[in-house]
Amino acid sequence: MIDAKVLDSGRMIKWCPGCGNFGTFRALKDAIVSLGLRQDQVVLVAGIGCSGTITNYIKVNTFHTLHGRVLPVSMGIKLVNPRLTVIGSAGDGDAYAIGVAHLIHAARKNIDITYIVHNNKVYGLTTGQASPTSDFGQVTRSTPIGALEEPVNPLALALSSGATFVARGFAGDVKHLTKLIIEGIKHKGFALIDVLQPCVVWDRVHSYSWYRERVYDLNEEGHDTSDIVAAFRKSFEWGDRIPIGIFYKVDKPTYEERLPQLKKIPIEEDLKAIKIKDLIEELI
Amino acid sequence: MNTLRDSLSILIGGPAGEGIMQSGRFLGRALARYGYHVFIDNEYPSLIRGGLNTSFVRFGSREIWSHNSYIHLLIAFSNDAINKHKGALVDKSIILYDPRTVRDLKDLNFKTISIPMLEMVRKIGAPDIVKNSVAIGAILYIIDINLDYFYEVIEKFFAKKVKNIEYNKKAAELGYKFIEDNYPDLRNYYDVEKPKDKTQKILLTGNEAIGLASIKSGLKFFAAYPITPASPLFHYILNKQFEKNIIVVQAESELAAINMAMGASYAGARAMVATSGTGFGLMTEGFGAVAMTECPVVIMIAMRPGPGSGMPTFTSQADLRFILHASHGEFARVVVAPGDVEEAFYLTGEAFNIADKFQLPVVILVDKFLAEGLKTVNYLDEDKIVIDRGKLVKPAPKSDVIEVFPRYLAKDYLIAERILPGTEGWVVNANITEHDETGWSKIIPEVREVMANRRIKKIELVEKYIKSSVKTYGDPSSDTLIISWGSTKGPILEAMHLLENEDINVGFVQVVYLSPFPRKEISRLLKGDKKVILIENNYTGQLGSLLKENLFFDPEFKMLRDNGLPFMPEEIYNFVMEVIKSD
Repeated sequence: MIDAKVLDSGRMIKWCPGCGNFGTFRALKDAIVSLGLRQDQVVLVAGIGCSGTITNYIKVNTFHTLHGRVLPVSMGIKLVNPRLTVIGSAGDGDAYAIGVAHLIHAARKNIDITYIVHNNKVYGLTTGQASPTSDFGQVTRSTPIGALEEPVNPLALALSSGATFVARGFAGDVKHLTKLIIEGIKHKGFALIDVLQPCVVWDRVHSYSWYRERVYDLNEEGHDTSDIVAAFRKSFEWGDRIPIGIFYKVDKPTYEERLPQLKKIPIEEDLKAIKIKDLIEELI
Repeated sequence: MNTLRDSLSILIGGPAGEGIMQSGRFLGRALARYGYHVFIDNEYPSLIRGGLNTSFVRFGSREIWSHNSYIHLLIAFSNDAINKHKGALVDKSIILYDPRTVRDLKDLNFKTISIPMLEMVRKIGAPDIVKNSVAIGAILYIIDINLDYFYEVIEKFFAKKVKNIEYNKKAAELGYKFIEDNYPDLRNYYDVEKPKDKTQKILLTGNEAIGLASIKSGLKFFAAYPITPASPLFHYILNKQFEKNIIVVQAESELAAINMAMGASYAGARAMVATSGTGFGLMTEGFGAVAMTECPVVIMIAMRPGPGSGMPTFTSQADLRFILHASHGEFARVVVAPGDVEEAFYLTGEAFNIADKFQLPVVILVDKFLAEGLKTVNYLDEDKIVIDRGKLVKPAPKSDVIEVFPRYLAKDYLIAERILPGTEGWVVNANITEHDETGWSKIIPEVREVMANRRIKKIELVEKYIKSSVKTYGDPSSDTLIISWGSTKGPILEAMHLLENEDINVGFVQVVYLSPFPRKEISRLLKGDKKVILIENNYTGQLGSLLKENLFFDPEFKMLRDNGLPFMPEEIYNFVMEVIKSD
C-alpha cells in the first residue's frame, strides 16, 4: 500500500491556515491510499475557487478546469476510458451555482463519478460573497442585509435528480469523511459527497466548533440508506442537529453499463482500421 | 440563360410534415443512380406542421454546383407553393398539382396538370404521404427515366418494410402511367442531355460528408445540444454510434458539450461537438479552455442568421469574425470553411489531424446551405484520410516512482509531447490556469511569457502544414476576380458557367482557411489592376475586413447580404456583368 505522502505534489499549499480544505484533502488522499488505487489510474478534476487549487497539491492525473464545469469534463474522461477512477472536486459555487445544471444531469445519468463538494457556504477566493448554500439571512460581503434567498439543498437536489449515492461529510471529522469517500468511490454510479467545511476567514458563524456541536452520524442512528423518503426527510434537517453520513445508496446500472459500444474501450481502438465503405454505399 | 439543356430544375412544395424534403431526396437519389449530377436545396420555416417546405432539385449531365432561379417543373401540394414561386417559372414550365389541395389556377399562363395524387394513394390503401411518390412517377415520365431507378431507391431506403416499398412503387407507377396515358407527348419534354458517364453518384449533405469523414478519422466522442442546422450531423453520428463504436452524448447545454469533449480529448479520444452560432456563443468559454489545456477538439459550426435565435432554418455567413475572436485571451485557432460536400469530407479529415498535431481547437465552419443542401459526388476516397495523431506518445515507466509527465514542455519546440491519463508510471495534468511544463499552476510572468507564446505561435506551424488554403477557379489572371469563402462557391461556379457561355472568363479565389489567414497566397492572386468582387452572405463583408486587416486591401465591388437565402447564380451573373460594364 502506498503512503499518503506519495500523493503530495510537493507544491506549497496556499490555503489559509485552518481552512476546511485541509481536512477534505487529507480524507481524499487517505481514501485513495486505503482503496489501494494506483496514482496513474486516478483522475482528479477540479473547478475554480480555493478548492480548485487542489489539483496542484496532489500527484494523480489532474484536470483543473473552468468554473462549474467539473462534471462535464469528468464525464468526457470517464466515457472514453471507464477504467480510470474519476473524482470530481468542486466548491459550492462551482457545484450549486454556476455548474448546478451539470449536477442534475450527471446524477440522472448515474455516471460512475465521485463528486466531492467543498461546501463552505461562502465564496472564499473572491473575498467573501454569498454562496448558494449561505443561510437565509446570512450576512456576507454581497448580502449586507442578509442573504435574501433560501439556500440550495444539495442533498435533496441530488436525490431528486436520481443520484444513487448521496452523502454528507464534515471536514473536521477526517476519519468519517475518509470512510464516506471510500464508499463513494467504491459505489458504482454517481456519488455526491457534500462536505461541510468551515471558512475561517469569511464566515465567523459556521466554525469548526459550531459544526462539532451539531453534526451527528445518521448511520449510527438506524437510518435506512435504501429509503429515499427517509433520505429526503433527513436532508431537510438543519439547525441544532445536522446529520452527516450516507443518506441514500442504491445500486442501479451506470450510464456506461447502458452503453453497448462501451464493451470496447474507445481510446484503445485501432483507429486506422476504421472503414466507411458501407456508410458511403448507403448514400448511393 | 434558361434554355440551356445541360440542367433542369424541379421544385416540390407543400406544407411541413408531408414528406416534401424526403421526396426531394428520393428523386435526387434516383437521378444520381441514373448517372445525373444533382444539387438539392431545401427551404423550410421553423415549424413542424403547415407552412411551406420546398425541395429544389436540380440535375444535369455536368456537375451541378447549386440551385438556380428557374423552375421547370413545379410540383405543388398547396397554393402557397405556386404563389411564392411562380416568378421563377419559364416558358416551358409545367405545374403538376393535386386538385384536393390546390385550387383556382385560372390566371396562370403556364401548362398545368391536375393529378389526383391523394385520391390515387387512398384508393390503393396507402398512407397520404405516399402521394409524393405519385409526383415522382409523373416527373420521371416527363424526364424520361425508367421507374426502376426510383424502385431501387425505395427498396434500399425501406429495406424490410415491405408494405412501404409496395405502396411507394405502386404510387410512382400510377403517376408515371397517368402522364403516359393523358399526356404521352410529354415524354422527354425538356430533352435534357443524358449523362455521358453512367456511374452511380453519391448524393449527400454537408452534414453527412462531415459525419462520414469524422467517423473515418476515428471520432470516438461526440457531444451536442440539438440545434438547427447542425442537428443532422448529431443525428448522423447517433445513427452510426453502435456499428462504429462512438460515444454520443446529448448534453444538457452547449456549455456541457464542449467541456465533455475537452475531457474526452484529454483522456485520448478524438472528440467533436457540433452547433450553430448561437450555441457556439455558449461554447465560447470552453473554446478558450480547449486552447489553454491544448486538448485537440473539432468544433463544427453551421451558421444561420443571428443574432439571438435569428432565423434558425436559413443560411448565413455572419459568424466568421465572431469565431475568429471567440473567447477572452489570445491563442491559435484553426478555422476551415469547406465550399461543398466533397471539400467538407476531405477537410474534416484534415481538421482532426490538425487538431491532434497542433493540440488546438479546429472549427469546421459551414452554413445551413452547405450543411443541409445535397450534392452529388462521383467518389469519396476514404484512403485519403490518413490519421495522424501528432505527438501522442506512450513512454515506458521511468522507475517505481510515478512521475509527472512534462505535458507542456516548452524548451525547443512549440508542440509538446502528450500522454494519456492511465499511462503506467506517469501522471499527466491539464490546467486552464496558467501553468508550467508539469501542468501545475504557475502564475508568474516569466512562465506566462513562454506558455502564451507557445499557444499563440503554433499558428505559424499550422500555416506551414496546410497545403491548400486557397483555391482558384476560372482564370485568376483575368481582369475581373471574385473572392469569397464557404458555400457561396456553388452559386459562384454556376454564375461563371453562365458567363463562360457568353465567352466571359473571370477568376474566382476561394479562401478555404480563414485562420491561419493565407495572406501570402491571396496577396499574390490580388496583384495587378483588377476589378475585385467580394461576395459574402453577410452585411458587413467579414472576409473583406480580413483583407483590409491583413493586406490593406479593400475590394471595390461588394455583393453582400444576409437575408437568410443563399445567392442565386443569376444574381451573381448580373452583378458581375454590371461590374464588367462599369468603368
